[in-house]
Amino acid sequence: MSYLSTPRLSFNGYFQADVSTINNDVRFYDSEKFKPQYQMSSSTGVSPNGGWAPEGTGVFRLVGCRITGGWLDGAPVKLGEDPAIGLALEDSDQRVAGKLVDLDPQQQAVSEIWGMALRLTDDKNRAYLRGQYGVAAFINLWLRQQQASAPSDQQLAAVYQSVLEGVTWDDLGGSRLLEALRAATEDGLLSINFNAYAYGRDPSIPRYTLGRITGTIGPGRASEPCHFVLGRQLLAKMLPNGVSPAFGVYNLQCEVDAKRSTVTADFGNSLQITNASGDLADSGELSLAVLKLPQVDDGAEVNVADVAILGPVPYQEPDWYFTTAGVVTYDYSSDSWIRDNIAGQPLVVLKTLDDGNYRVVIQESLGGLYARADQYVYRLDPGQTENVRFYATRYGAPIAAQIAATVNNDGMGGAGTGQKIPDIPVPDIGVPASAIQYLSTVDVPADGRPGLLAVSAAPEGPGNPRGYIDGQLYGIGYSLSDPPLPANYNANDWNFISVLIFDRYEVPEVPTWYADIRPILVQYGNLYPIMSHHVVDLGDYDSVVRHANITRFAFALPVHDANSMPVTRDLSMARRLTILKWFDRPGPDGLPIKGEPVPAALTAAAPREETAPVELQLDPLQRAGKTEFLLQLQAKKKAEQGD
Amino acid sequence: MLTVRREMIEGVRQAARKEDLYPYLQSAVELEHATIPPYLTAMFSLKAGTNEEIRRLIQSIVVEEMLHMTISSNILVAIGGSPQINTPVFIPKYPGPLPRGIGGPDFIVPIERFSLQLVHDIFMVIEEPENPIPIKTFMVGEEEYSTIGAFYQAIQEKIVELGNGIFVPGSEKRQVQKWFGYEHLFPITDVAGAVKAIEVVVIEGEGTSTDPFQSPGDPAHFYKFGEIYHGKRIIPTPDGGYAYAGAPVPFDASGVYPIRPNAHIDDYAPDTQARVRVERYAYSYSSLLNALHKSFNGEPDNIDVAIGLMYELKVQAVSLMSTELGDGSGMTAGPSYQYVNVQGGMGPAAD
Repeated sequence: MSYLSTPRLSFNGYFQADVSTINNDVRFYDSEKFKPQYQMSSSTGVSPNGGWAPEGTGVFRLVGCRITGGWLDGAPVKLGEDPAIGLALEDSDQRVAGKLVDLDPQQQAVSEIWGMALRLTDDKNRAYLRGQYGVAAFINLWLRQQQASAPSDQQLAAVYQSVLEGVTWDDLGGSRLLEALRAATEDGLLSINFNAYAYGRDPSIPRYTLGRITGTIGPGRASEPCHFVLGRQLLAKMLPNGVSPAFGVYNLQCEVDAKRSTVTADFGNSLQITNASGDLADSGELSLAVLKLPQVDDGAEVNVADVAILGPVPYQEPDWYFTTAGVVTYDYSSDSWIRDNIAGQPLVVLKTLDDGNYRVVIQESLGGLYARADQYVYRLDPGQTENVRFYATRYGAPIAAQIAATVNNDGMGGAGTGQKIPDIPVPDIGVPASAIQYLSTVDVPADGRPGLLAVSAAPEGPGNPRGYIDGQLYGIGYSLSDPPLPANYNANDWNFISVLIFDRYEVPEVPTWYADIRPILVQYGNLYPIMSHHVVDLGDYDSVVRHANITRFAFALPVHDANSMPVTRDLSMARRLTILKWFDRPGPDGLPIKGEPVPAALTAAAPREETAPVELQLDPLQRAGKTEFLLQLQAKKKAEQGD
Repeated sequence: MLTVRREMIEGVRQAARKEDLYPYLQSAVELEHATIPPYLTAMFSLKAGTNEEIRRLIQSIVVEEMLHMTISSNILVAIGGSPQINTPVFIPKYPGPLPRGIGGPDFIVPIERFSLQLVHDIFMVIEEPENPIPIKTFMVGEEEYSTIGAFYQAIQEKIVELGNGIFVPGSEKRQVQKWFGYEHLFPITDVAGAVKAIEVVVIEGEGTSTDPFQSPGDPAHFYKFGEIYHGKRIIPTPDGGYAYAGAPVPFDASGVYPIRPNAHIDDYAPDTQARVRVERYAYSYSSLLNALHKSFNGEPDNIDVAIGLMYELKVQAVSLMSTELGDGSGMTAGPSYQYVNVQGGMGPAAD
């Protein structure tokens, strides 16, 4: 049960991701070598610089989002047919907006939303329903937008899937759709999925820091994964650039409802758009089908006899995308072959060719096999263990399986930007390997419950291998080992686990500003000038002491609180406790203890360097963003392969 | 000196039951709040790194207005009332008169950038005590008007008259108690507590009739604004009086965002950065009122959430006020204090 089940709501609008871009380059974490110009915008032409939004707040919020359509009782629900259609999907009206948070400057491809609360509202009711958005990272980042509509448009797009938790319902205003959703969902949850695209980075355009969002809300259940659909997974063969599908259509997931004889497919992050308006590119006549053959090559041509067509992908209908979020339900109740075979035959998307045959532009994972970690981003303190939940399916049905877990650091590392900063080394990641511990296999039971992989941070921590930045990044790759994957299996390169392990740190008996607090806070002050210039200058003892109440308060909040500091959720528990202890144990003058300045050499060890950072030639506005992060990784990979 | 319609005072005096006091305490809450948007706007319009001294002076006043709003709400809660804060009418219409005719219909409070004239013509008038020292002497107002001080005094007297019986046992658990220090904000459970709390409000706002300082080194609001306007701190003079002759309070006119005054959301074209940011600010301000409403209606710890929103507003004001309108006016976007339920600004046609 998921947002692909019935009933469901579609929504459309904008999001704001008011991110700060200084922290997109790991080298700017070196407080000793930080220069004021690193806080300047790329639009000033200064080089190196702090990227296209150095004064970002980290806020993630919805702007002008409305429910644009629905699905109930096997039929679409349109504007005017149910009071739910047209409602605003809004952030909390009771607390600050959510925040968008990178795991680390060396892992920017799993940005998570923290602290967001959502509600459905209109002039009559402040909240027909409310729920807290479960922390989620995006996935399936790809080059979706074919042309920039403005300078330095972010042409990569991605998808967020999560749940609304602790959902409360009010009078539903006579909406059958909402009543049915309340009846269908379980455990106080709702499943929510949205596609984020057309993000603007040019400070001169209205869309600056805004992007488009199109998504779906449906029923949820606690026993199912939160961040993907336990269903059918179509996986694209990718071009060597890693972000373009070879045949134009990108990964999608489907849910088969055998009782209703329906397949619901989500094309929301699968179809190319031509521009930032979200106009879908002409990909020809597309349809969803069940393949009658066991498997074919990606891009293979098949004929009418080889497939059972479920129906067209109606993406060329006006407003289809904005009113359905690209989710289509196909009814196969009248096709006995499909009824009898859909559970064991692959789903494919076909493009109709001139000769009446079809090209398979994307097909279900080979053998129907699929393994997935539900949550794939973790932060661990030394000695801490988290259980990663793994699911394994064949044609969407749970199977007993063994999954192999291996080191995979390919998706992270690098400086974060390609700027030339010769005096600051780029730390290597993934070392020492001994600081992360997990078994090499995880068994998944046949009954649909997840298999658990305990991932532990060694009690001694990684030992500050990155010098000027706390902790270390580790990537865990995984794939099915039993049953084995067929040859030519299109593994999704985004299916790996990113772990940040903080350094071990002893909370000092008597923390002082110079020895313990300043080294932590001055870094935040450098990286988040919006904070240091306008609220509290975190690098300045007097400023911190003057704002002691609010600063202590924000550092004491749980990380899930929207007001929690640091916004970036990259402070270890030990360092957090040190800050709180410092506030709570003032000196004889009643103020937190200042102590004596500490020579710079003692504060940070030099990081173990990675191979020379790769410089990129980019439009200045492109600096510091997902594109540059990815290009850097690709260039690094290429350089390593060339060695 | 701001005037209060005489009937307000009469109304308080005629109250026979505690319930009769509710609307007047609600008015006090509204009045204390009404000064916050104009003061905040003026303060936020000062650019970072400039006019530090002025910013700190205004901030100390704004914080005390928030304290006074909290005290008035707590008194209302203490006698069984429910402050109403999350409604569209709670925010006065700016530019416009203060709530309940306070100050009279011709006293128009604007939302605009900081200027010495704004401080002098509006803020000092709002905060002017009955007996300002050392500049002016008491002048009898028009017959049908009285003063804010007299209004609070009437409430104080009425509470004394109605006695301890009007206080709801256990209501202190519903009163906001954080963030201001026990000296200023304490549980109100009886007449003595309420009388003391009202004194905090009056003295912080007006000072006493003989001393412009509410506490050593900390002038009452009127005199702080006086310091800003006159560009000097207030100090005692050898003749036993006071003068604006102390350390300088410098004003750098270039350190002020040239914001559009008295803006409304609809003044900004859709699909512009300015519109999006004005809507966001109004939304955050509305969320702040929602959070405060909750804090004063059974969830006092929710004040923490409200504090978070106040800091978010501060940060949002920067991006708002640095957004050039680009319409040839040379102005940047200015805030609108409208109670809104949704945030928009970008339409389907925007690109």
